[in-house]
Amino acid sequence: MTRRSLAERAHEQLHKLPGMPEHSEGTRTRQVAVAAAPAISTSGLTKAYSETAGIFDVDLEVPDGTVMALLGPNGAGKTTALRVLSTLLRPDRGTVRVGSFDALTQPDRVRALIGVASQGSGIDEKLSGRVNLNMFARLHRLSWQTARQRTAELLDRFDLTDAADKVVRSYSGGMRRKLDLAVSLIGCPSILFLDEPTTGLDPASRHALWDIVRGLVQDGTTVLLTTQYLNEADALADGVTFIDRGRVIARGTPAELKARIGGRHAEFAMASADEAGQLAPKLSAFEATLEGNRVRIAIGDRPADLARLMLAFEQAGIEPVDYQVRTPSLDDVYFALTGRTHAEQRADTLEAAG
Amino acid sequence: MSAALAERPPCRWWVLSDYFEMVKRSLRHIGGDPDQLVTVTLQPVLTLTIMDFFIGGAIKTGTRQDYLDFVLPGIFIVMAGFAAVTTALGVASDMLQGVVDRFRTIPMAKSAVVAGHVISDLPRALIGLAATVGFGLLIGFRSPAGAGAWAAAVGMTLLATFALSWIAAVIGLLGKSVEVVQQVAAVIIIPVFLSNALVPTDTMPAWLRVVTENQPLSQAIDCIRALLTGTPLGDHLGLALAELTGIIVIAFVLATTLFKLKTSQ
Repeated sequence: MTRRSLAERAHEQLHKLPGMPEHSEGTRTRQVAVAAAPAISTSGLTKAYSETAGIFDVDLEVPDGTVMALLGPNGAGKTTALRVLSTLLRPDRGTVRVGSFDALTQPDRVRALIGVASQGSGIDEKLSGRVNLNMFARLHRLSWQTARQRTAELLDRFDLTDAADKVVRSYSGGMRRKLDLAVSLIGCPSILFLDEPTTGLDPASRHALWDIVRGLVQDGTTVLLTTQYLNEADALADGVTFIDRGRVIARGTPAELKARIGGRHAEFAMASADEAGQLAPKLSAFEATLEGNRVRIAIGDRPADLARLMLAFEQAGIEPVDYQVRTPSLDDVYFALTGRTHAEQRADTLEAAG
Repeated sequence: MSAALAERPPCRWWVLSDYFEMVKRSLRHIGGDPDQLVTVTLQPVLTLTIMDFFIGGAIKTGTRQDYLDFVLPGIFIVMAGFAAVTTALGVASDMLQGVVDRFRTIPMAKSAVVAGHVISDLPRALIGLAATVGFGLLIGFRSPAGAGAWAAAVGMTLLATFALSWIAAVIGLLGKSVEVVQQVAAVIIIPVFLSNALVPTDTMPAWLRVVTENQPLSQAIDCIRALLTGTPLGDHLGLALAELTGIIVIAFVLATTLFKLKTSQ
């Protein structure tokens, strides 16, 4: 983001107040934004807590006006990265630029550009939603009148007007997240950091939140979010960066990453691993891989490819217990990258939860 | 909007606005937590009741009227101690419940985060003071002091509150959990009882007497006593001002350093 584009945006934002979301003409298209300087860039970013905990040599580049998802297992360093980018944590080494400012030497300049929402923790739960918004607007140094307008507008936009004057402590989890996000938007940020924005939300609230994020991006906001939900990255992100044990292990668009681990395939579950092993000679015409009692067979994108495979099963008299046709998801990418199987991952998750 | 602000040179008046907002915030917490007012009003009134009606008779200050005149200024400082506890809890919950990170990602004056709690103890103390004086007058306290002397007594009480609140802020910043801080904050009351607030120091052992008579809270109490009974101030005023200011400076520096330390991890 250049100085000029910042000034342009400031101009836009000023004229947009208080009616913020306008999906009409004058909205910057994504293609134009991509061509500009990156909104966020880091190089060699390192913040070590121990040998394996923290982040190590993280290079990130988030084009202006796009959504970048940081993906990775628990404890991978996603939150650490986000805290460094949002000026909350000083890195041991490396450079961070947010907007056109150096986050290490000009943190207050960066703070004027960003909004941060961290799992509903950035609000004062002893105050009402309206008072929270109004207070943070004033701390962002908006005038009394603008503060009131922005507050009313964000309450309306996030469907919180009815609960506006109730104390936040009485809010549901979903309402808290929404208010936290609303507060992070009070200063009209051009760059938004969201730490696991939908963890623990029900599906309806999750989709509502996604819609809000899409609306913001359409307005030209750059979003960097961390998530454990791969479908969230799939639904929202232009770019995905996988982090494991503090290091970037892959990056690209969701489509690129999926393509990297192969195309559409059919998966068959046999009664036993033995039975699965005996299949290989019978299916020599296909590219099959074996995993326990499961057989994965790559198929092309035409329905005829599937018909050919089914016919082969029919002719050889193979009776699978279960079968499905799948296109790779980001989950598959995730497991391929972290080198873990679903079962291991589940065990990990259970361990973490227990 | 925000980008436009970033380009604008920072205006120093906004720092005042930040302090104003943070003080207002802390005072608004009374609405969600009315206990805060109970603490500063009921506690001193109860202490006064117990001291005056039950224990006072056994303390050699002369008549019951003499003891009431003696103890009420002490109760002012007891009240100041209870008012300061609010700061410890407010600071601890800000630091431990994540809202401090929100303040830190806003280009505001960071010093207002802790100072907001400390300063808001002053209006709280005024409410407590009104309750204490009101109750004192009701049970027979009389003072020949004029408006000027009363104002000075109130000012001294607020200065003591300010000093105790900065100490409370340090306790709040050190706390590992709000529950622990709630327990530990009661420590603030101890120096109040280790003063001449409730009992004359005449009967204490010599070494203890030196400590209790010269500690800042005793100096402040002696000051308030002299103001309200119309007796000469002596060197109490100068000593109280110097000692309380010293505490404020030390606790302020400690709190500021701790805040920076805690928020840079």
